[in-house]
Amino acid sequence: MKAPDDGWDREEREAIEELQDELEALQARHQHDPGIDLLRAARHDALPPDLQEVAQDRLLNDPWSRTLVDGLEAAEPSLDAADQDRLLARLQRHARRGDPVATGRTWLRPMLATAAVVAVAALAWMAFRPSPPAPQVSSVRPEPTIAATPEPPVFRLPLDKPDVTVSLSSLTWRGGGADNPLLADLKAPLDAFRSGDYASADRAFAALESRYPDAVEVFFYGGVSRLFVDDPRRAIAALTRATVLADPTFAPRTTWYLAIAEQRSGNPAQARRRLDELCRGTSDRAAPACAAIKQIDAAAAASHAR
Amino acid sequence: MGNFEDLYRRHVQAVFRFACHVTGDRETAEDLTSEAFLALHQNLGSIDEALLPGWLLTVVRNRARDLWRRRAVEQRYVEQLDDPPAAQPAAMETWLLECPDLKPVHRTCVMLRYVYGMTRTEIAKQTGLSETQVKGHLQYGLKLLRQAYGKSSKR
Repeated sequence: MKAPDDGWDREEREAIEELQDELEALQARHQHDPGIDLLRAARHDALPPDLQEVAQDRLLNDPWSRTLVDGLEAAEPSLDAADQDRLLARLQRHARRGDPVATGRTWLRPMLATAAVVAVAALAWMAFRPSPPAPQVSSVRPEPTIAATPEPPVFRLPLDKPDVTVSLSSLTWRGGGADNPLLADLKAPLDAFRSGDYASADRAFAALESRYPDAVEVFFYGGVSRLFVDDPRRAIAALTRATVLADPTFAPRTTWYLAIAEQRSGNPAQARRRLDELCRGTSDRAAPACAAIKQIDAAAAASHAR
Repeated sequence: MGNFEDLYRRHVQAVFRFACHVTGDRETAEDLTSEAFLALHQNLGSIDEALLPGWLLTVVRNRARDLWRRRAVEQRYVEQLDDPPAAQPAAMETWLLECPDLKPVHRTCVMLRYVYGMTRTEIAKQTGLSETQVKGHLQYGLKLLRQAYGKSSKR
């Protein structure tokens, strides 16, 4: 079995001797696996659509890939105070100059170099061609970097933070009390959720999904966290799972947040069906759902009148 | 809308962390974080503070998609993804995925080291852990693996 570049230590050598055949079989099976960076980006819906679709399928259908990413998501990379100050100083410098591009954009450098070569060649060609006179050549600038504010729908369902509650089935999971590992594992992600650190909460809940596939909190609060980090497609996946678990404590709230996720992912008709369902019910979400329907209808009428 | 520096201090960690997760390396993540906050600075008057940090994360996500689009042109990602492992998983694979004594981070460290052949430094970079933490996780994972599959185990 081939050792990594830093070699094996003594314990590893002993273990490898015992497990060599099994580990080599595993290596052979996974030698053509996709890169972990790619899978991790897919987890956050950060790939171009065609690539996202296949990578997302891989994550859904391949437990190995999913588990690999779960472990990576548990990591908490951070900027220390000095790095934060350095980055802020860089930003302020560029903001003062009105420069739209961050300096360190290393992945853009090859593109800029190519663009510069093309520009020089174009200038040279225009300088030496006989006629007509060369037009003014504008300087080569990289793509504009300002992202447009996401287009708001006609009426955007408000996203409020739900209170944190734990279902009876989780409180009594495997006997409950101090021996309840689910409650212990939920503590950190729920704390992150309560404090508004939704990106951390999202990662922490996602890491629990394979371990607690029947815990509604994992999928409900995970789904809502994804809404707060503006990732409605992944929110729908988690909230749909929460719906399937059909916990009565969470059912109306899950439907409400699913409606928000569907509206924000460009499916207002489905969102409207969810609101209708809530409006017909008697839960505490019925009144807000009926009010939202009225506002959606009023906005639609105003839009038609324009 | 609050003061730019206050907003930066409040949201930079979450934005940077997200950027690390979608790019896989700190340097690029810093670049995308800078771009997001620069975009915020230039749109400071027109953005509702209630949309933060979601708005910033959307900028990072859009930049990451551009980045991956460029990478995808150079590499055959789709082919890799279309080609999942064919054979049934071996018993050790199933054990690694399901052993209740392993946390996700243990599983991932073991996979990266003993299946993908990464160095401890590379694993630390990927996971954001220190090399000492990586070593600890590997020792723990390997100990359980030997208990389950080593010569002294009762298989």
